[in-house]
Amino acid sequence: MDELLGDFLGETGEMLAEIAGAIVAWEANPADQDRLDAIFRFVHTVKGSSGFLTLPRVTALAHAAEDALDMVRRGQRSADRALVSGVLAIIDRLADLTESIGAAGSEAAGNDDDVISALHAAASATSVPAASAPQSHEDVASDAALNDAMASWRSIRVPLPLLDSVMTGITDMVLARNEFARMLRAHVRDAHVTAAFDRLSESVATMRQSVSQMRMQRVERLFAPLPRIVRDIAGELGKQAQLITAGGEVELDREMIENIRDPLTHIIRNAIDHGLESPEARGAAGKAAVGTIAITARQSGNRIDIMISDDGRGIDVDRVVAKAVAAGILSAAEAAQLSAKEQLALIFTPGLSTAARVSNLSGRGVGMDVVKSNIERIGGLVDIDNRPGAGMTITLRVPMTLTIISGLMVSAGGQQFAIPRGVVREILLEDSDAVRIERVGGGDYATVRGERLAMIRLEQALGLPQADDSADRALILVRLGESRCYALNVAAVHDHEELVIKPAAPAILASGFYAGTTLPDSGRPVLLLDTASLPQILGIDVDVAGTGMGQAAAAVASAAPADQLLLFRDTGGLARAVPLAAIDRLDDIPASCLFVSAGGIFARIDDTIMPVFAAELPRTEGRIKMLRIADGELVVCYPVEAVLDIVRRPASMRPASEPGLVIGTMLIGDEPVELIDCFWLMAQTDGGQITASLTRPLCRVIGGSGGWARSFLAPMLEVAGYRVAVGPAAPGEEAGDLLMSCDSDDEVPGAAVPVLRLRSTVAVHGANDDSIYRYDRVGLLAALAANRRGRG
Amino acid sequence: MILNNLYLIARIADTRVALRSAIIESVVTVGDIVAVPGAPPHVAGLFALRSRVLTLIDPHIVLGISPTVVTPGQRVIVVEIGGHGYALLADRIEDVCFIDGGENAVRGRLAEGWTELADSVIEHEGATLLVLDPARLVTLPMQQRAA
Repeated sequence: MDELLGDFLGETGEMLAEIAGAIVAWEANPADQDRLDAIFRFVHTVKGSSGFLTLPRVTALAHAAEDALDMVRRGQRSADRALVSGVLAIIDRLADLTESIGAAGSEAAGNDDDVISALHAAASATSVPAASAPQSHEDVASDAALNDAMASWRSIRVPLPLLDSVMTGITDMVLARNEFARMLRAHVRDAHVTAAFDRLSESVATMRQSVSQMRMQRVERLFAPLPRIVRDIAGELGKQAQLITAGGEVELDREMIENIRDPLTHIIRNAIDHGLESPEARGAAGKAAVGTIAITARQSGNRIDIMISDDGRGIDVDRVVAKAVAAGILSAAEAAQLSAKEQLALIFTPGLSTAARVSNLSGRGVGMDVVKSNIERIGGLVDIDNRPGAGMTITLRVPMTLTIISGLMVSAGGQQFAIPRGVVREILLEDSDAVRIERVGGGDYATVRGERLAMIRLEQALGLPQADDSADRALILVRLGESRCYALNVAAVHDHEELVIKPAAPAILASGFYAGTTLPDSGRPVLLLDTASLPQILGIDVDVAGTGMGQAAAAVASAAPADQLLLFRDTGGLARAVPLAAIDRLDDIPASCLFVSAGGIFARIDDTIMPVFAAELPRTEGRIKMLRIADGELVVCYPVEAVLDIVRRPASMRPASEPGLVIGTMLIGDEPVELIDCFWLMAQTDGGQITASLTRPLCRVIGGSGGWARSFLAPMLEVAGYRVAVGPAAPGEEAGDLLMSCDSDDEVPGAAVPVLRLRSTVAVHGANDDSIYRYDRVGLLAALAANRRGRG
Repeated sequence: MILNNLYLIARIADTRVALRSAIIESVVTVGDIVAVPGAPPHVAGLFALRSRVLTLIDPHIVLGISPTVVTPGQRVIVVEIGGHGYALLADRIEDVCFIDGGENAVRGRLAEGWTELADSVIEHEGATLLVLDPARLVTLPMQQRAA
């Protein structure tokens, strides 16, 4: 196909997707000049470019729509339903035409008079007299402004295979770099070579990140056609619905967007068809006649949550149960045993449709079970929050990208395998006190803190020999959904790594054990386990609900995150931990996003500014990782060097003696780990307090032995709220807010700041001696407090 | 196509064969092989060729005889089928050459295993070679599984 024609079709397709939403928004509010201009620009652009390419039908259609819209812009015509439908019909025809041009390579002969004359008919019926035009010509955007606006539509079009080949190229580079690094370590001692290599290595890493970003698209793209879909479905069902979207700026791998499109559309159809009541019923229930469908996208870690809420009638759980019993899915007695949550989860059972009547929209045999399995296939989860009578929210939790996932490396039978990090609920050592392993009637079970789970030994599942060195054997609790979980027993758990996943050959996929292959930095291929199909192949029931202890399990599951700690190494190299539940997400941002303002350090992430808990700007030009700790309202960023692991909180902790950043010290493995006091951290941040704490007064200690000042005095002063410097201020150094002289006879030079004198004897040296005995803690603290009050 | 009569001559299961070259990409030295537990037996493992992961196929298994012994540094034939990269094991890889005579249908009976893989022969330098489509080695076991 002609390259120009290809570009035209590609561009038109993209604009069509974007414009669909604008049209519906404009119909809802015809006074919305921005939307009108956007639609006008689209048809104007199509008309212009199709003229070049001799596509007479496209040109004529675009021209007709342009004329009509131009009249509206000039106030000679009103934007009523007939006109919008007319324009929509033309745009639909344009979409069909461009599609057929794409397939055939040229424009098919045909007649579009039907849609064009429909638009004209709509015009003659509704045109308003030019004399009463509410708008003057000056209100219409000038052509120059229009051209400017059109330029913003442009972007470079890159064929996908090229993007993929860049990605492959980068992966090659990373592997070559790793090999090179191994050789350098073995043979080269020259620091210059190593430094040059490190620079190269860093730029390769940066580039790898940029390339993966190239594949990202804003979720807006997924949202753009939805207003049109909502409008059409609501119109067909005689309901009234409005769509609200938020979080369109969240980015997702383009492949992922394609995978979510159908499930999302299906959920929206369901929400309007089954969820929203008729306007009359809504009125009777005291709701607004127009129902609301709200779609929100949100990033949390390397996952994206897409929430679809409606304010309809919610799910009638009793009816779902009755249906399931009627369909023979379970017995009435079994149904009575289920918890409310488990009863609700029945809507995911294949072959269950709760609609009283099968409509031509929702009743197409595509049920929630298909939505669920489609989302799970891409490593996601579906959650439901039902509010009977008031509506419901369905949340799709999906990984940000299909091709790069965070993977956990495990080994079994002397071989490494990868598991998607997203499905891992918890990792425990097999010999941990919290775990009990039993063999009951030929089946393996792991009981973890009272929750009995089916256990799969990976070696056994894959037919590998199981070695006896069971010291490191670990249990990975794999979460498959609301109430499905099992324990995967592996020989050892290694690190996690960002993995580029490639599809495996059909012969390998057919085994059902694997979801793909990957090439980690070691350069040795690793198979990605298909954690969802593993129990299916082995015929193991992993339904926690099915074990008759769903309630207890759910309670444990909901309590689990609070008991988990994220282990990390902070910028000072210390191993520290913070409760996992307190962490909103992990950011990896360029150091240049950090800045100092009013004595505090702040980070600019996306469009928001957040306080950073740090005493000084990091001395790096590269990227820094930050934990975003949030309590729901306040957020503080905590810079870390590396995230190490997620561990269960040990039972005992040695509390810190003073309130501060660290609440206590625990032993994790054999390592002492400091636990961050989130309460204290937030208190520092609240109301800009963090700034004050970072500009704590400086106490300069002079005279006497520096060793004593540092070891004996400084810790006490720090507890009292001072920063401590020892020795007189060198030129350019901070003079300090308080001087403490250890030699009571010393003349204190340039004493522009308050001075406290310490003496080494208990006895005073005379009537004028205002010094304090250096071990008189009470006296010293009182003097310090007086000084602070004086400052305040 | 101009390369229609280009063949790769190899020895598989003590038989000299001419592999049609249309989907053959290259001949490379096999890397570190990683086993694929649970996969069908003709999948001899995975290995990395730069950033690609290739699936190693053992024609011996497809023929129903004992597996090929893989030695380090052994050369394998890289082919691409359905967007996936495969490497075919062979006892020996001899040559790549143009053969003009044209393919002839197999007359008489082939040994068990070969019947499903090959249906024609070609004359080359005074010897008769069995013509093999390398894709068959990959697709045949899958078809047999499905049946």
